[in-house]
Amino acid sequence: MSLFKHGEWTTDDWRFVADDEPLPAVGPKIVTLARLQGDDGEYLFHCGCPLGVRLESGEPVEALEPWLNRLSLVALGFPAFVDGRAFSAAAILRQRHGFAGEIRAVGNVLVDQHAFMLRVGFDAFEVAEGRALESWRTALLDVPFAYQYDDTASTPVQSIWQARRSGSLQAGELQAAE
Amino acid sequence: MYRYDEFDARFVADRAAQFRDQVRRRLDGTLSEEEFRPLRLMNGLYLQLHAYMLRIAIPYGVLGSQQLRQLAMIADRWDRGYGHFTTRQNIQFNWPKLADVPDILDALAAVEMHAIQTSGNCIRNVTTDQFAGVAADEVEDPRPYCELLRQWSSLHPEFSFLPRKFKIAVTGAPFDRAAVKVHDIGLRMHRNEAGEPGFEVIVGGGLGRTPMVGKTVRDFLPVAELVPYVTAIMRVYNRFGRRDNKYKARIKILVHEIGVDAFSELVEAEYRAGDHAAGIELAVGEVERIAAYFAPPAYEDLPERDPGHMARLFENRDFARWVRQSTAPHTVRGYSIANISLKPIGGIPGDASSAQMRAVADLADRHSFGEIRVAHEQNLVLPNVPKRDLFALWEGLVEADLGTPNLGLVSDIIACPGMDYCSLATARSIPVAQAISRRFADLALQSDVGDLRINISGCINACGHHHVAHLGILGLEKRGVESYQITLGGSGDENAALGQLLGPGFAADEIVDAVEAVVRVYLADRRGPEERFLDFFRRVGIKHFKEAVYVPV
Repeated sequence: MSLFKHGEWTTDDWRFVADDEPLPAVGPKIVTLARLQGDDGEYLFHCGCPLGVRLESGEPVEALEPWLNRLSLVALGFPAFVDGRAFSAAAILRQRHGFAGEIRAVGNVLVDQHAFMLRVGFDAFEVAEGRALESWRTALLDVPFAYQYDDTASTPVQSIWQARRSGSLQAGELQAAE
Repeated sequence: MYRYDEFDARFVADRAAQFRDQVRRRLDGTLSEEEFRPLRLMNGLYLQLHAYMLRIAIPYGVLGSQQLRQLAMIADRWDRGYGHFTTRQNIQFNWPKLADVPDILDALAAVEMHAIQTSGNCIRNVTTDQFAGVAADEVEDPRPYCELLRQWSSLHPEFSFLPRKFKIAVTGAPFDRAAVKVHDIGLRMHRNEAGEPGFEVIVGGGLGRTPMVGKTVRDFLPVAELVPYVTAIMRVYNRFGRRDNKYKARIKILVHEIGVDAFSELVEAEYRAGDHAAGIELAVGEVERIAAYFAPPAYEDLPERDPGHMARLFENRDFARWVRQSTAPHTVRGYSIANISLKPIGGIPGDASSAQMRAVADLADRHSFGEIRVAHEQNLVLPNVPKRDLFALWEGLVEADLGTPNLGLVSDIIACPGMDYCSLATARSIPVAQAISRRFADLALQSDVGDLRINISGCINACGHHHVAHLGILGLEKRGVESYQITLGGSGDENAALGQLLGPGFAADEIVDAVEAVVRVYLADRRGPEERFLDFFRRVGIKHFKEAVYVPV
C-alpha cells in the first residue's frame, strides 16, 4: 500500500489492527467499528495514542457519533469503485459533524475518483501498488472546476458558482491556464 | 436559451481533453477495456451490438440552430449521415469510431454541448416539457431550474457512483408532457396560496422491469430550496439504495420496500440536519443569472387571427390537417408552437438525416428565433412560430419529408432501438413500429382513431416506455423466437397509469394484426369519436378487449 496525502506520497504511521489481532501497546492504530463498539471500546482511548476507526461502506456513519470528538482518523472503505456510499459518509462527517481529523479512503481506491473524493472531504488515500502512482499528482488538474457549492471543501478545484458570485477567479487566470 | 459563460466553456473543454487522453491510453494499450469501460461510460460512449454508440446530451431538450447544424456535420463526417433522437430528449449516433470520439466531443464543445452523464450510475440529463416557456397552460417556466440542476449534477462529487442511474424530470404546466410521475424524481411546479412558486416533489416512479408511479414526498417545496432538498433525497438514496442486485437498485425499489412515509422521514431528517442558508443564497443568485438567458425573444405584436393564414387553412386541406394535428397554443398572441413529426409512415421513429437536421435548423432560423426543442416522444418542436409563417414552415417541412401530420396519432410511435442495435434487446422494435405505421398509413383512418399512443420496447428494460402507452408492446424472446405482449390503458401524463396485460404474446407475424384488432374493437364499440381510446378502455376494461382479440379456436 502507498499513502497519498496533501498532494504527496508519504509514509504511513498508522497501523490497522484486525479484530483477531491483539492491540499494540503504543502507536496510532485503526480499529474496526465492531471493536470500538465492543467491550474494550473505552479502553482503546486510554493509552493516549491517536485512535482511528475503519468503517465499511454498509456501516452507518452515525454509529461513530459518541466517539467522534476523540477520533483522529476515520477510514472509509470502498469495496468496489462503483460503491459510492463512502462519498456520502465523508460528506456527512465534514459537513454535519465538522469532523476535522483525517478521512482516509481505503480499499478499491482509483485515481479517477481522486477529485471527487477530495471534494467530499477525504484527505488521505491508500492506493494499491502498481496503480499508476505518478498520475495521482496530475489527474486533479484535468478539470480544475466544479459547479457544486460546499463551504467545507478545501481542494484545488474551484466552485464555479462561488467564483461567479465573488468574481474571485478572473478572466486572466482562466487564459493563463489555457 | 442558455449560453455558456467562460466557466461552462472551460469545464466542458477540459472534460473533452481529459477524455481524449483516456482514449489515447486505450488505443495504445495502457488501459484495458475493463479499465476504460467506466471512463467511456461517464462520457456517454456505449459498446453496442455492432459498434460504439455515442449519446449526446441535449439539456432539457433545448437546441439552437447552430447546434443542430453541428449535429448534422457530426452525422456526415463521423457517422452514417443520420442521428437518433431518444425518449430522454438526447441524440444518439450509432456508428462512431473510437478514435474519432475525441474529435466529436471537441466539435460538440465548440457549440456548447457535451456527452457528460448520458450513461452510467449518475444523475442523467434532466428532462422537461418540450413546450416549456411557451405553453399556454404553463404556470411557471421550468427551464432555469433544469439548467440549475444540470450544473449542480454535473460531475457531482458525492453522487457519481449511485446504486443505479437516476433520472429527473420537471414540468411547469398542469398538463404533464414530461411524464414526471415515472421518473426517479419528478418535479411539478405550481403556486401556493400566497402565489409563490414551488415544486411538488414526486419520488420513486419509473418503468423498467418493475414499473411504478412515483409518490409525493413534498406537496410544496419553495423554489429556493430545490438544490439542498434534492441533495437530501440523493444522499438518502446513495446511502440506503440497494446495491446487491442491479434490477432492484433504482430508488423506486427503496421507496417501495421501506414505504413512502419512512422514506420521506429519512429525507426530511437529512434535510433538517444540514445548514442550507449559504447554499440557498448562492443557488437563488444562480437561478436569477440563468433566468436572464430565458427571457422571451423579441416577439412581434401580431393579431390573433392572421388573414393570410386563415385563407390558407381554408384553401389547402393538407395544410389544414397538419395545422390541426401539429400545432399547439402559444402563450403569446399570434404565435403557435409547431411540432415536427419524426415518424414518417414506415420510417424509423426518432431518426433524422443530416439533410433533415439542416432543413429544421434553417426553418428554425427563419420562423422560430433559431430555437428547436426535442420532445420525449422522439419528435422535434419549433416553439415560436408566428401563425403568419405556418404555411411557409409547412412547405419547408414537406420538402424535407418532415410534414407527416400524425402527431399524437396511432403512427406517432415511440420505439427503442431494439435488436437492430441494442445488446440488451430480446426482440426487434423498429420493424414492428414500421409495420404498424404502414398498416395505419391512411391518415383519414388515423384521424378517426384519434388520440391513441403506441410505445414499443424490445426488452423488459422498457426503454420504449411501453408501460405508459395507451397501447404498449413489449418484445420478448420465447424459446428462440420473438414474442410480443400487448398492454392497454397506460398513461404517462398527470393521471399516470401503468398498462394492463392483454394476454399471451403474439408472434412477430401476428402482432400487427393484433394491434389492428384492438383498434377495431375500439372503433366498433366506442360511444363516438369524442370518447378517446383511453376513456373507452377505462369504461369497458381489459376483459372486453380480451374477448374480442383472442377469438376461441
